Amino acid sequence: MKPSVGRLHVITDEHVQHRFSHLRIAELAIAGGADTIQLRDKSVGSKALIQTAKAMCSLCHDAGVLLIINDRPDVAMAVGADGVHLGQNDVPIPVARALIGPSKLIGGSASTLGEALQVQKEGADYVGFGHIYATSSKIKTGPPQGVGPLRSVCEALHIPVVAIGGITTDNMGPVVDAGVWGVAVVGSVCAAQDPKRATKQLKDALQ
Amino acid sequence: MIDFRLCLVTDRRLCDSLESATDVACRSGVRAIQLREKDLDSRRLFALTREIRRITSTHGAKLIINDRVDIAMALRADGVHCPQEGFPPAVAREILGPGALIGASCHSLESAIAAADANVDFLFYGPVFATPSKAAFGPPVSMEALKAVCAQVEIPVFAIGGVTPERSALCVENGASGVAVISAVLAGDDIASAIEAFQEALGGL
Repeated sequence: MKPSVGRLHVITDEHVQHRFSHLRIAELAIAGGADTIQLRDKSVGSKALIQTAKAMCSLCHDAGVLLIINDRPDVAMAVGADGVHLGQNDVPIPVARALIGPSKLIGGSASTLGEALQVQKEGADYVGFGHIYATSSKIKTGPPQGVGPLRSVCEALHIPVVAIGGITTDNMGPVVDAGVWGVAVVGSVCAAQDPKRATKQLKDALQ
Repeated sequence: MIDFRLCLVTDRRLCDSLESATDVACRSGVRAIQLREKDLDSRRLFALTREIRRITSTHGAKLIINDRVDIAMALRADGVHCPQEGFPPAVAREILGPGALIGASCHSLESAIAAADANVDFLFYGPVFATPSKAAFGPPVSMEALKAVCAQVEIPVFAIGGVTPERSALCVENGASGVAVISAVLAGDDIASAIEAFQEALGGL
């Protein structure tokens, strides 16, 4: 059976900070209450990526947390992850669906309402919409969207909308009010002094 | 299963259009193409692979995708090639099944033996000669080293790295089943003649 889309996605990143490995961030985020971990690293070879993904998969599944792999359906298949997250420059959603099957999760990135509708139409299980606020991580595609377009997307789509981009405990209120299903963060957790505590605070703010 | 002696490895930056270069190569008798375009994002790589698959299918040539098992699977390529730091061959085999062609690159006798044990169908071994595209893999291995690898493993070994038509005969004398080439075919202005020279040196493609 296909799992439900999580509400607090922590995307591991070794580039916005150098203190923690992917695995360590996942561990701290899980301890802080994240229900989904997304592994994203476009700079390492497939061998190293699979090695990390494999370790992360055991860690997540032991804790009942979902593991989503960015960009790589083959890596997701190799380690038995719960799904893939696909950006606009990644393999098309229907192609990934044919590869990983109906019981896995597929998320698709969108930065406009049009893209969000297209992601939904192509069969994604959730849309990652953003970026909402200014951010230094690599997810950005143009200027910040703000919560206005986010609200329109939440109203127009029937699949869960996960907001991404510069979301912190302090600015989460308007995001939640816009009607999102969940949020995804990179820097707010990975670059935090205490990633576990930061995750817990985000979780509290989300509820 | 390995019905080729020359594998053309792509680098679209060396040619005006990889589609037309592939078409000319296939028309000239090349029977195996390895698509290797590491700098492309997945969406563009998928689109390019679809075009190249169409061309190789038309000519009955094999198409092997470098590192990307998902794209190979989605576009029904003949197989994948696993770089040393790339997708592990044993994992690729689990996903793709026994019918897929799986190749692996190796740069030492130890890694060649390990790859052969991982149930791969063929090896790329080198660099056998100095070449800019393979500089990252250290100084060239010797012909003696190529000979030792070919003697130790039972699967076909293709020599790679700075191979020219003249040098390809030497590689075969030392036990290689064939050669893999990039710039020797794609960097020149006459792909058909370059391939013809390899055909003569190798006694077939």
